[in-house]
Amino acid sequence: MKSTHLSEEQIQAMVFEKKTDGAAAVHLQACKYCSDRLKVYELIFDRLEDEPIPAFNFRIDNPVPAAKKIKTKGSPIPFFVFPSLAFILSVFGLLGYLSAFYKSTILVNGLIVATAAVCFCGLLWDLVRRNQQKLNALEDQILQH
Amino acid sequence: MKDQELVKRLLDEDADAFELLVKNTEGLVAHIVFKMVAIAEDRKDLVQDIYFSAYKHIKTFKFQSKLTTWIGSIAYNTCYNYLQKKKVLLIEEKQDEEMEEHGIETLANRMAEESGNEVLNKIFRAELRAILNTGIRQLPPLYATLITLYHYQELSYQEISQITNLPEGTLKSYLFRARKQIKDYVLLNYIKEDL
Repeated sequence: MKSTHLSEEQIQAMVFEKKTDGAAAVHLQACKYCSDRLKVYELIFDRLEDEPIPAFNFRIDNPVPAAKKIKTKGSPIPFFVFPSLAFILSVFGLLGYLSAFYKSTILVNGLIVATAAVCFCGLLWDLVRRNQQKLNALEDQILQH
Repeated sequence: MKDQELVKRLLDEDADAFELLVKNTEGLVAHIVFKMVAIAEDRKDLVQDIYFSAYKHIKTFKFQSKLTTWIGSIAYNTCYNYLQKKKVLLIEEKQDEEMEEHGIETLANRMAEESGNEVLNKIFRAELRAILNTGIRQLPPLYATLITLYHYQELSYQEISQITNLPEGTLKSYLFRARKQIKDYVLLNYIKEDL
């Protein structure tokens, strides 16, 4: 007699996809067993949908600052090196020319000191900038944890 | 925020956009990871891998699906590879048919008896929920994931198919078996508790 009952596929289709053919609906009204089977599915999966969404008990690291750091690491030569080098070479070229032309040691010394001062300021500024970057990266990491 | 805008901000290395991406997809990723990975300690590394991989490959996202579905597929594939490495079976069939008829009658009768009494009804539903939670935990990882995606996340067959890369026919067949396994488990264990 079991073959006359609705199949498991039919019951699930009725509950989850709201698919009912006429004969199945008629059978369901007359058969307590199939009607109970349908109710059991409804009852179980009703409870299932009430369950809260699980949550992670840890913070997900943000890879964006890390990627930026990798990019910075990828260019080992600071951007100011080539212009500075060009500047220093020009200054020394000019110095050589002027000292030969005027035969003046004061001018030569003055220009040497000025060039050294400019280079020193550039290096100092770069040192501060790099340290600031490191501090920012460290701060990002601390915030993420 | 639309997917296009979020992806553009991610490509511009906007850290806030990444936080937003996590916020929008965390529920789905958590559902997949919790259902597929039983070891709690491994989940953290997997989740970091999922989001790092999503960020790294965001430029390959072609807007052929929703961004959440795309992240879901990364989560599923990451967990799938993890299970393959651990040699965990994704699908395992269990049959508890012999108790079915008696179980249905018992559960249906209990449902009818307690529908009029609010307190008893609450107890009955709490008992049922406890059995159900254990039943889902005992499902094979793939079945638990499909049940979660369909019933908790309320995704369509098409979206689940995009996440799991399973054909829709296979997906429906797995969902059918998964629901049946849950029902069989609940009936069997409800009877045991009732005896």
